Amino acid sequence: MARETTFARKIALGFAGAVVLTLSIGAVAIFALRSVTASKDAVIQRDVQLMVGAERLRTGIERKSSASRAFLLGRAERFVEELNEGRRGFTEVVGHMKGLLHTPEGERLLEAIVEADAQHERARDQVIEFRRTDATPEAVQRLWEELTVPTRAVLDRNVKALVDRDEKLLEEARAASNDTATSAIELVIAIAVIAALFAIGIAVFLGRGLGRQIGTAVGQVQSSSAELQSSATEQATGSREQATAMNEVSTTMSELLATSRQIAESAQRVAQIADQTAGAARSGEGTVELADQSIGGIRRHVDLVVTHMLELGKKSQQIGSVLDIVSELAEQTNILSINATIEAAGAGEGGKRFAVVADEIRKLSDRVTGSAKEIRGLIDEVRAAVNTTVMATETMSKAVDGGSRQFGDVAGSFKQIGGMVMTTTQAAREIELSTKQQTTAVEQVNVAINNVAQATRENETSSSQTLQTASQLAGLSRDLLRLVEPQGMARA
Amino acid sequence: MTAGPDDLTGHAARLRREFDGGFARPFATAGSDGVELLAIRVAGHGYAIRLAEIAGLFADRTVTPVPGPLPELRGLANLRGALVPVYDLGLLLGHPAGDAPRWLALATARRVALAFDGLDGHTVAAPDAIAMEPGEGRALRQIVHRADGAGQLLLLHLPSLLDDIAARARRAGGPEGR
Repeated sequence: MARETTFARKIALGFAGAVVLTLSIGAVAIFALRSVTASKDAVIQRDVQLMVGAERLRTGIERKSSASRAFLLGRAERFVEELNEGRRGFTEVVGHMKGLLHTPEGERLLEAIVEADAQHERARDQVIEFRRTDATPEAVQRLWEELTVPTRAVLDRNVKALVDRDEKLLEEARAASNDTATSAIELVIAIAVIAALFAIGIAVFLGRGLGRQIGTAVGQVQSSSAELQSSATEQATGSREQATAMNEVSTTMSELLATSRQIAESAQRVAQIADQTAGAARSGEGTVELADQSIGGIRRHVDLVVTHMLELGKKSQQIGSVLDIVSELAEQTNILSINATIEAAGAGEGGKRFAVVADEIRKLSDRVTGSAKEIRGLIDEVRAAVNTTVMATETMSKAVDGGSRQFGDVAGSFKQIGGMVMTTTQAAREIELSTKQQTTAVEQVNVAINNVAQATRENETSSSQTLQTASQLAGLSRDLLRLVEPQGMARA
Repeated sequence: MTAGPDDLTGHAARLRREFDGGFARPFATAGSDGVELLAIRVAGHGYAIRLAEIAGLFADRTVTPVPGPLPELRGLANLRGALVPVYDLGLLLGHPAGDAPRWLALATARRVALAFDGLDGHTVAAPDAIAMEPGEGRALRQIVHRADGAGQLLLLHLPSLLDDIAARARRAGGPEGR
């Protein structure tokens, strides 16, 4: 619970207790003052007025006495009027005092005064009546001293008794009021002592609690400030490294900027070359179409050559067939001539001529056979050549077909090249545009990096300041800990 | 090998010229200055036969096989209206048996035909071109140097060959050429 209570709550509770005690002291003091005031007021209101009334009675007595003496001296009637005036004032004072008196003794004393005054007045009236006569002043004086002086003494004694009683009452009231004030003062002093003890207790309690908690907190602050110091040191180091890295990045970005500009120029050149390539591809496409048409003509001629060659092969075969017949005839002729030679040898002299003819025929047939063999060889050569030509022509036809297809492929490739070159041109222009935008972006990035570098330098400065502040904070926390726990510091 | 049209034309003209010139030359006796021979081919080997020893030359004649005591007997052939036995010359000369020979030569001494594979032609050999060669049989005792210098041919002596056939046939008790 104590740990959960905050400093502010504890201090507030302590001050609240102190305030309650202060308010109690104030209330008690006010009560005491009021009591004292009330008792004083009572003294002033009643007893002092009684005292004043007693003095006024005395004064009225003296006034009446003076007026009567003045009349006795000069026998002027206006002093009688004054005497009567004094009697009326005395009666008013008596009436007023009757309202103030609250004890039977007081009322009795006042009745005694009134009774003595009445006797005194009667004695005075006798003296005054005697003065009005032609009595001598000595007679008047003797009568005065005989009648009024004793009543006057009684009256004075009664007044004095009332005054004494009033003084006594007044003293008693003052003593009672002083007692009330003294008890109030004692109460206030007691409460003040209690409040002081309570405040000292709260101060000790709060001081110990706060010292302990503040010590703990200051210890944490100390360790935190140490961590903050190391963090600030690391941050400063990191900021320096970051500043270095930012400088390198800035340099790299500058190189990147130069490279981007070179790329933009290269992309522009690529776009120009791609335009030229597109024109060349279109020209090549037309050339390929013309070549394709020429190959179509070649193919038709090759087909014609193949047809003719096949026809030539057939003719050669037919020639071979005829030559077979010729060869066979030559062979039969040879056989016939040999047999004729044989027969001629057996025919005697006549057969010799026949033998010569037969020999000529045989020679002729031999030569025909040789020529037929040559022709056979020639025909074979022709047929072989025809076959070779046909095969070559077929190969050429296939090659032409392949070439035609390849030309088609080439034409398609040229179209694809054209399309690709168009795409390349567009891409190169986009690259150029993008690279320009990239250049702008890199410039902006460069500016931003410079700003970041500036911020990093400021951060470095700030880190140094943070380090300094952390050091100061560590020093402050040590000082604070020393203030809070000197013995703890001594132990530490 | 290739001959142009001009060569062929010249060749034909030469043939005509020689053929016509042959009739203009005076008659000369063939046997007086040389020996007439037939160059033949048996089992790939060249042989020669004297033209005087045969009565006729035939090609592509039908030979009907008949049983006989000698393995060299091919059969019987109809030559000039007569049935004659046909003997394989290659087998007679000790060559292994091959395809049916195309050519037949009818002997003069006996009515027997000899079959051989090929005819290389009719040739005339000078007497000094024929030399004696010590052979094993009587049929092969001479050689002929060819006039064109293309080697030499073994000259067959058909009467000896035919006598051997007759003797073997008699020993075997079978038919013989007469």
